[in-house]
Amino acid sequence: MSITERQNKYDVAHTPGNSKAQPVRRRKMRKANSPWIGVALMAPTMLWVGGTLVFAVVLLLSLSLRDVGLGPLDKVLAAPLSLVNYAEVLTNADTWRSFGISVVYVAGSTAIPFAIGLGTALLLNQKMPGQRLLRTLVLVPWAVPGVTATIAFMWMMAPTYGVVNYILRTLGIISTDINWFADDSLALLAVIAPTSWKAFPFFTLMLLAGLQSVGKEQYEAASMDGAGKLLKFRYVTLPALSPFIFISVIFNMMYAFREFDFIYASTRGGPAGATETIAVRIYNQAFERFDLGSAAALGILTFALIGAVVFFLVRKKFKGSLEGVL
Amino acid sequence: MRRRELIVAGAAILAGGLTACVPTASANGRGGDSVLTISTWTAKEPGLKDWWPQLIAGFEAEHGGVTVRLREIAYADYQQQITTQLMAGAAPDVVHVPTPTTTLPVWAEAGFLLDMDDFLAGTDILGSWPSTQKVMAWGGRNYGVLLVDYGYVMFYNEAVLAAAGVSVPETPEELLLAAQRVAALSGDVKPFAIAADNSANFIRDALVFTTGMDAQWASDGKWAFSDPGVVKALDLWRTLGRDYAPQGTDIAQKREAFLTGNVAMMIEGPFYQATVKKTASASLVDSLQIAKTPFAISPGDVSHGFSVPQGLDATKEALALDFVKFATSMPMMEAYSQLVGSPVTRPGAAAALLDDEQRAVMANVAENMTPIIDPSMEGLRLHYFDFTQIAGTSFHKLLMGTDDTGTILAELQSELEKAGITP
Repeated sequence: MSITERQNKYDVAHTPGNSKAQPVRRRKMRKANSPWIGVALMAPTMLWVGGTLVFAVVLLLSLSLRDVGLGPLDKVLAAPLSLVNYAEVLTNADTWRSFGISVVYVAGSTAIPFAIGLGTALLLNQKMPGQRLLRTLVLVPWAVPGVTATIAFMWMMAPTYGVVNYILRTLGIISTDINWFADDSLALLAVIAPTSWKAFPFFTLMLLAGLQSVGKEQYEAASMDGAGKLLKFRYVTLPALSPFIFISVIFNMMYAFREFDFIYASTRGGPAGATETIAVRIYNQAFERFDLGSAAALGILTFALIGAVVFFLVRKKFKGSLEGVL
Repeated sequence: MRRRELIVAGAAILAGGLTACVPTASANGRGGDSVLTISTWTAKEPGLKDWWPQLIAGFEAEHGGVTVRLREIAYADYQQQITTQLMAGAAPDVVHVPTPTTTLPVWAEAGFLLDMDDFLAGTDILGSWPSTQKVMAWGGRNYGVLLVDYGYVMFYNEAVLAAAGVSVPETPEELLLAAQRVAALSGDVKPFAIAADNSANFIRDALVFTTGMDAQWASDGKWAFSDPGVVKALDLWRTLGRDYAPQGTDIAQKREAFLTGNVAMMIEGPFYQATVKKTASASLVDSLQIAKTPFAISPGDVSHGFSVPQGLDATKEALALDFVKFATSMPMMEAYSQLVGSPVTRPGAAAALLDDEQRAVMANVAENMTPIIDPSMEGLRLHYFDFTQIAGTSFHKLLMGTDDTGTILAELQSELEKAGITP
């Protein structure tokens, strides 16, 4: 049966007043649209994913409420409930220091790749030879595993043999080698570098999608009003990109806040705790100091904090469109 | 198909899927069957990848009906994963313990490991093993058997030292002189290499000097970093690391620098010699040699051992202990030494190494070594991470700061006392 014949048959069946064909088709459609089929098909995945997620969060919450050290889980969970871990975490100056480091790390790991990503997106939005190839190449850092990128950056930023110091030496910018990962005033910047390199393609991708949704007529109208490139960017491009910027910044901030690979593989939170973000501190508390209770408490607090911040921001940004949802 | 049939079919698929995900008693070896599970991070390491199959085949041949399953976990994840498994009561039947100086106290203190004193009383281990076996003890009880300990060796580039007109250094003074002579050569070869990152290797490289120069940085349960001997030893390490070594090298970069001929000398574990011989370029390989460290005392370390978790049923526990006994028997330890080309803890098992001049160096230093961290330092062993954080900050100051060594080490001592960490 050709496509035209199929279409004709469908049209006949859906013609109002065609009492012969319509009930059969409706019955089939009703069956196909039954919500139960969707639920049945989704149930295994939803149960598995939901179950493992809920179980992990409940277990974490339970651990955070037990004032016991490392030990068999059944004994730990048999201990009485207590808020000692939360009190300890919240009154520990190192927690707040780690929080401050996290804020700087998140800000740096978002602002830098955002700027690079915006520039790359604007560039790739122009018609040029090899555009498709460039668009593919720009995504490569995103596909590189975190640890691989970290090792590459550690070699590039090695004080004596690294290419970064070599370039700075050759250009006459430095006279002695910079010890990027061992100098506590530079280590945070050193770990922001690979994070930014890996994150900028995400911004490129999101902002490029945004740029392509801006109609040409808007730029033409702006031109007729006498707007130059800068004004067009300010009053046409940026407002159109606003939701894309918002979503990508939120996603990247959440990703950066829980980032662990780059920092742990390069500095382990050192030197002198200069790169111990909340994520690294949670790991160090759990698997270096073996204080699982306070690690769990810190994890729960972080979870709640991120959830609250995202909820607040999303609600504020999409207040009109999400009415009734939030 | 009716709606009801669809739902029933979906539920059946779900039930089937979930059932398939739940491990059965026979699959994980619990419940008295004949599967013995062992965890390790070394299954694919040179030499060990041949030793494990030999060990497993030998054990299975001696224990009819028993199957040994080796679980490999990457080294970077090993401690974390085994700790989680021990906590959940799902650990392997035999636990391969890495760096027992710091790992074993945590697991023993948490009550995860089986007290092996009764088992060891029926073996020759407590009577014949060197004093390094104490690292497998905690609170006076033994929680495992040490498999491998070693002495650090001096890796040197013979051609570079010859060009500098110096012989292989045998004293700390000669080491400094050799570094000065190599530095005076034209070219980019650095005289010495240390690990100077934020890891435990950084601390280890510095403590090699204190142990080697017989400097006691802890005595009578108190820190002694201000001791003149400690200051002298760490001042030498500081001079070499700051003035004669590439900066900021982690352990991989340190080894690579030596392997590629960019560094003339380094102190490392003897096991790295196998990699040097296998991967160094043809023009370099004959020049890259090992010797005893240039110290009166051979500094050394413990590498790994075997423990058994608590809570196994009696049959499985007996089988696990049998496995430990078999693995540490003379034939298996001899096989280890030959295949891996490294010393082992069992006395006499590394005799084959003496046939080769370079390997004999390894065997000799291992036999006479003093561990850089004494197993009796229980406070340090239990809080090793916090110790490395505080000591690492001071050692970075030594390499990058300008204050004199004595002042920085006095500060270190004060910081450790303030943190409540005792040796």
